[in-house]
Amino acid sequence: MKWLGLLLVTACNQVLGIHHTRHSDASIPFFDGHPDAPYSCPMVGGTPKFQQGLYQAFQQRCQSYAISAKGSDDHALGLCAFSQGFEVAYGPIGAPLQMQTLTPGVPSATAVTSARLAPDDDQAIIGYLDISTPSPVTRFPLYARVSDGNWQEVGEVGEVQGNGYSEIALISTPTRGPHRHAIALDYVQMQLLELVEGDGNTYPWTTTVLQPIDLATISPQGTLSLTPDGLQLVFYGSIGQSSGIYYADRAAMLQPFNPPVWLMDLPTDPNTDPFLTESCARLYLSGLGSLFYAVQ
Amino acid sequence: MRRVGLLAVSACNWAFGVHDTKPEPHDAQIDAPFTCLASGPPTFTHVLHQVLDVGCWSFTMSGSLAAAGCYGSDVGSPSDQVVYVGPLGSSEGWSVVAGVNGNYVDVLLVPDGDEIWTFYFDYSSNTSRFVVLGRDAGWQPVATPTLPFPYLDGDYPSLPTQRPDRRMLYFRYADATWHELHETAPGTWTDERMHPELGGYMYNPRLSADGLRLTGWEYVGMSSNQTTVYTSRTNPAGGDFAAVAPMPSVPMTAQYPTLTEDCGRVYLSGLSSVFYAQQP
Repeated sequence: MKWLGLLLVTACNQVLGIHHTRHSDASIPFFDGHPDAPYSCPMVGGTPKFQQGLYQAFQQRCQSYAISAKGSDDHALGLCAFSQGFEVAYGPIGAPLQMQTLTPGVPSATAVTSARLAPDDDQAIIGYLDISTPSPVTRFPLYARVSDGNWQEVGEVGEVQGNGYSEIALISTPTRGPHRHAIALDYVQMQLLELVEGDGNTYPWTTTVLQPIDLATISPQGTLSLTPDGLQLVFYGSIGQSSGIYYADRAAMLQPFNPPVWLMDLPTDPNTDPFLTESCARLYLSGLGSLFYAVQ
Repeated sequence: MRRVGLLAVSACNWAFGVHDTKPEPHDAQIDAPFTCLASGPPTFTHVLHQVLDVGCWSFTMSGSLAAAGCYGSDVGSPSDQVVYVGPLGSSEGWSVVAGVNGNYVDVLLVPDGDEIWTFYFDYSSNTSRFVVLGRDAGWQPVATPTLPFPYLDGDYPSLPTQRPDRRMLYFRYADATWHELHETAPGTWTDERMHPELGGYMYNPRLSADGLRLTGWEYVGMSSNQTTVYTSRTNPAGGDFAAVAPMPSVPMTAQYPTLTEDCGRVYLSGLSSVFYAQQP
């Protein structure tokens, strides 16, 4: 009887033209799921191509969204809107994030400007504008996750000058450890910096000037997203008349980035805080009170 | 042989429990009986459905037809921006019917479905233009209605209501006043009354086909935050509107909010695309 059933199924598969399902056949779920296709970033100098369709990852107003890249049990961190304003929030990928407690917290008179989760899922660089000094600086303390919902400051990655609230220095997500790197934009000196973690928890991280930035030519805004290998950088900004999401890559760390290219299939709205996953499979962006992603 | 094949397919469909497929397009038709509230804005879930996956905005609809303004480069047109027309409920079958070297402020498919009112800023002449495209003319320009005042940069005319006895609201930027216009003869509109209760600026106002509800969006205070807004009235022929209030269930950064006639859905623009949210 079992053999007859198998024969019937095989015959009917033939009649109806049904083939075995393949891993890449799976459609993308409406809500967030792990990428199910073997994507990879383009060769250096290339440009990733994203579909114009957007998928709503979850319904929560979050900025500065970033996800870890351990490969399993990954999480996300961002700045999300709660009743008291935007707060650092953390949780599983694809689900609304929960408010976190930072110890010590940032000074009450200032706002957190960015929250950048490390790929190792253990630490986060928090950016805030320090207005206690005559020249405002953006400080980037590093917090370690010590228990559910609690983060403890372990040192300061560095501080970068800005021009006040209008031009707040930016910092990227860090690379994978050890000896993590992060890219920062110094609006006063108009240059990209590469911050590198030293041996044995020494702070601040060492700073290397990577390349000058001509703000008349290119103007990044919001957040910088650096892939865990440190080779791809994504940001929202403007080059000439073209505002949108830009992508720049390089062959190795501590080398300048190639000229950014506009990812023209993606939304051009400001404040999208794009985040590129390690394999360039997905690009997350904020907007319309939700978090969305586009896929290659 | 053909009969054997059909028999085999039928038998296998029965064996696998395969039923006829039903169309379920990207932007499916509404299948639940929604209603507008007697007062106050309708409430929507926060699930957003993408309607068009090209760069578009100003989505309006009439019956089974819809129109939007889109970037020419996204739809293979040499124009900067285009008027894009297609079936409501599908992202297939859309076509470009007009294009400009300029910026479409609004693209309004009127409730009767026979005209698209386009308001745009023309880069070559640095002027604001009002052009009507007629369906019977193959969406070519037809006679422009005579309004009581010229369309100028910063003005915001609403969608008109359904014929007969059409009405529309018109925000004049020059003196920040709201006017209710009435079509007293085909193509001729008179300034019937002002609506100071609507307050100041409202972007992309949409008056419902029955003249009872008005939606739009505004900036909040002096910040760059924005919110969609709603008001309604009980007398569609020139009555006062209630106080303009936010639509809290619509994402704050949404633009061009357009309600369906039964208030079941709100179409909105954002992230260089068009989405809709639906009542629970």
